[in-house]
Order: sequence, then structure tokens, then C-alpha cells
Amino acid sequence: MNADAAYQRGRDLAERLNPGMETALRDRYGEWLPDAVAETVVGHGMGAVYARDGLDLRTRLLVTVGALAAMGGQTRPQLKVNIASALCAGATAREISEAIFQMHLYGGMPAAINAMNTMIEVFDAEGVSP
Amino acid sequence: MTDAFQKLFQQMLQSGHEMARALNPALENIDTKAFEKLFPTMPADMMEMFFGKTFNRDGLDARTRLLVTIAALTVQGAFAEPQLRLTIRHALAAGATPREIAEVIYQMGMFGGIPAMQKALEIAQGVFAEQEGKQPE
Repeated sequence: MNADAAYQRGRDLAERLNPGMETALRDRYGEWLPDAVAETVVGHGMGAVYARDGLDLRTRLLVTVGALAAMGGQTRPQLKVNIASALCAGATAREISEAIFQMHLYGGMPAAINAMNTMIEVFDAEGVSP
Repeated sequence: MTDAFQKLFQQMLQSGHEMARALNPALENIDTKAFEKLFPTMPADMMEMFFGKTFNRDGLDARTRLLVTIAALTVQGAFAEPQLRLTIRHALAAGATPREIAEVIYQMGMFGGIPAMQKALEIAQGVFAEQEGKQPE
């Protein structure tokens, strides 16, 4: 697949999971780093990684949510985006909760609790109830 | 490494060996990898019961749970090698394919960085090789 096709595939997926993300990233960082941040997240992240075969999208989003939760509080903004994307990719709220709570074993209880609070904020904003 | 440093290092290693021998002769030849071999890999049904959906119907299936754990262990730098190997063996037993495990680790390159991804991929390759050499059950 050529680079343009991969980029388009990434753009389609980004629009499905987080509408407006590419524009938001470009508006924020494009002035300082032309053709870098939005292009890397959409072209590489979405196009060359998330859109790959070999693993279903729901699992891809759940493993990312788990990893970000285990990394602790500094990933809060990314965690919010990826939790919303996980819902979009078909993971249930309960599955996301389970993946995050399991991370108390790996990132520690504070990381898991902080991630659960972030998760509740996203669920509230998206109108998701238990 | 300079010769002087190498000599110092050799001396340190030597005195370490002597100390181990004095404390417990068996310590000298200890194989730390052997500890994880003491943990048998659980069969898929047992995993589904312990941490899958058998009792927790709305929860997360064992395969996904183990893939999430592999992701977390990778972004932390894959420093917990025995745990990562054990989790990969369990993920395979719970029905994840080597390709799916490799995809999870590859994806984590974006979050934990490339060195962590590389180390985890090497560990995973070791487990895949070990599983291939295994007799089918």
C-alpha cells in the first residue's frame, strides 16, 4: 500500500473514532511543527498501526486504554480520547472498567483509581450509564 | 571497557561467587529463569473461570484481559521479563494468536516508546520459539 492510501485509511479511521481530531492537532501544533504531529498521529498511529489487520479494533483500543492507565496520571488527556474511541469501537463500558481496574496489579492502585475517575468523566460526558 | 575496569569487574564477580558459596553452595549455580518454569501455564477453561467471563458474565474475556496485561507490561519498559513471558504463554493458551500478541506489542511502540517495544518483541519471539518446539498436547 502506498503512503497516500495508508494516510487516507488513517484519516477515515480517525474520523470514525475521534471526529475533528486531525484538524484540532494541526491547529494546535502545526504552526510549531509543520506536517508533524497531526500527520504522525493520523498517518502513522491510525493509518499504519490501528488500521492494520491481525487484531480487531475493539481489542486494540482496550489494550491502549490499559497501557495508558498503567502509565499513571500523566496520560489523562490521551486516556480520555482513547476511552471514547474504545466505546466507538464497540467495547462496552463494563469491559473498559474491567481493563482499567485490572491495571492496579501493574501500574499500582493510584494509577488505576486515577484512570477510573477519568473514565467516569468520559462516561458522564458521553451519557453512558452502568 | 578498559582492561583495568575489566579486571576490577572480574574481581567483583569472583568475590560475589565466593560469598554465595560461603552462604549456600547451591546459590552459585542458581538459574533464576527456572522459577517461572515452576508455574504451569493454566488451561484455557481454568483462565476463563478465574479471570474470564464464567462468573463475571458482563466482564472481560480472558484473552482480552491477558492482551491488556501484555500492553501494560510493554509500556513499562518490558522490565518484568519473567512476568511478560508468563503472560504471553497464558495469552496463547487463552486463544490469542502470536500475530495478535505481536500486534499489541507493536502498537505499544507509540505509547511506551520504541526501545520498550523492541525488548518486548524479543521476549515474545523467545516464547513463540519455545512454544513451537513444544510437543502438541
